[in-house]
Amino acid sequence: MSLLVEGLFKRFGDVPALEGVSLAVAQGEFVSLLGRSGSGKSTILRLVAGFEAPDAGRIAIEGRDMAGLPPQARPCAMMFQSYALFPHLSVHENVAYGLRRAGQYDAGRVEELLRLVGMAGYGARRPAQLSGGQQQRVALARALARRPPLLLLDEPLAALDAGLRAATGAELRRLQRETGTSFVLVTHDQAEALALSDRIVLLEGGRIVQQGPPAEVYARPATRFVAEFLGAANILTEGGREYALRPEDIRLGGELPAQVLSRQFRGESWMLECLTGDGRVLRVSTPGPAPMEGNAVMLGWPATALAPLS
Amino acid sequence: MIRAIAALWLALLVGAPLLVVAAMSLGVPVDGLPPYRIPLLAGEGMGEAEAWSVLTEDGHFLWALWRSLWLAGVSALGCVALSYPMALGLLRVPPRRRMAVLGLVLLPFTVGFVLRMAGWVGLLRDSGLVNQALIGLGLITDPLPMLYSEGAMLAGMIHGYLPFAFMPVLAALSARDPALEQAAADLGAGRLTIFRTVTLPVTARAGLAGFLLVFIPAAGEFVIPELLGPPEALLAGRAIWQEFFSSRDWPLAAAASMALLGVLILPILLWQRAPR
Repeated sequence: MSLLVEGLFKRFGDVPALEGVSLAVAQGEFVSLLGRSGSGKSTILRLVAGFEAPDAGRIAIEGRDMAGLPPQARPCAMMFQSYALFPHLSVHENVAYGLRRAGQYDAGRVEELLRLVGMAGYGARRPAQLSGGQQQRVALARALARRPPLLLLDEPLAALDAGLRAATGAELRRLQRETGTSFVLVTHDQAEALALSDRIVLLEGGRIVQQGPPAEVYARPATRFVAEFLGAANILTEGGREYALRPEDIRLGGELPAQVLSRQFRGESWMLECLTGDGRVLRVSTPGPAPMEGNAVMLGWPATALAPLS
Repeated sequence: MIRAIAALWLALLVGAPLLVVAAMSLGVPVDGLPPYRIPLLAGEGMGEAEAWSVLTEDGHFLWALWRSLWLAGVSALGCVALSYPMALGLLRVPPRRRMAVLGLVLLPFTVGFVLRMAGWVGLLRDSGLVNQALIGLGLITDPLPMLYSEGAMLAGMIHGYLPFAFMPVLAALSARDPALEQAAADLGAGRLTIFRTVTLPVTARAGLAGFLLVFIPAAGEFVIPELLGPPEALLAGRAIWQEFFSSRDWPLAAAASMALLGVLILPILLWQRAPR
């Protein structure tokens, strides 16, 4: 097991940040911690890296208990949201920093790392001379330099342009596969988490509310929060129970009469808001052609599309 | 408009006095008021520029100048070296109480400058508090001669000029990104290594600014060496003072002032070329 976290509690003053989080990350696994700001996801990373001490609970990396160990002595590496590149050092020296501290400096290894992230030839530059995407790559190379078994990534794509995000995410995924490093990535972007991870861990209010492979969590959200967070599902109440119903699972041409309130073009699909005969508002995703606003439509869905919520 | 006012201001308050002093340095001392005469202005040519030849040939002045620069350099280094731990300590205080603690740190500097120096006299003289305490503890029998020494002078200089170095260092340290030091720790650097390889380099410009803000005024300082230093301590500031008021050789004093100014412009030029 690459990372094992058991019963983690942490408060900042009067504010609880984590309330009993347990989590296991297998060797070579890519796990995303997904939640809104304040859900405790970044706190987990900071506790694992050793920047803060937990109030209660246990953290083990590669089977070794981390209690009382400073960040320097922990085998994991962290990639910061701001990248935290040393502004006074060249790209080469930034990547070499960890190797030098360990007495393992090797110019060839630094060049190899820069090649790995597609930054060969940039060694002499200063971080300020690089674009955001290039800085991100250097930060990644620096974090991977000492071959950590576990890499912690704090919102690694948040500072990038939307256009760059998808390609960089795929690049992260490729590097994770190539190096065999376990990745724990913190994000508030559900699309990023769904696209990159082997497993998603959803956090709300300092607790894990659901975890599992992306497709499974997406198809079977456990709670209303998860259903709404992972793609704005409709919540239906039938027979005293709540169900999640995805906009893309509703088809036009069923038995339920409704009226289109509004429509939005999303590129690959249209998102309709429909008022049903029984007074509910449902979001419907359709590839088009989409009915006009005010048009009457018939809606339907297969019974299996209803995911019961707890 | 503002530029014109600034230019006028500089011309009146800096340029004009500087010209007067420069002209004075080319004169010769005479009896009377003012106690000098400038041959150039009297239409008698350059004259001998006697003051400048005395200044460059008399080792006394060059030595005083060198000693002043040395004292200013050591004082400025001391101020910067003290500022770092003070500022780092202050920044560990929770933000709610930080202003109050900063107030306490700066409180001594609200006391008049001469009074603070007099405080050192009270501490260090033969019958002063330190000697009394050491004798009272039985550690020594005769008082240590601490006052009127290089050490006392240096202590006074560092005490007097500390805020000039402290404020820029504090500002730079409080504006630094904590993630940089965390990243260094994460990459395996110990606390001293983090300070040496990250904290110090990223705040180096502020440290250099603090150094110069102390060094430049300290090079012309003469009150502190007069109050606390050894009697033989000959510094540029004191030499200039003596020439003006004791020997009444104004041209020589003016030449020495110009020489000191020339030396102090150098670090400012270096500062402007320093990498940002």
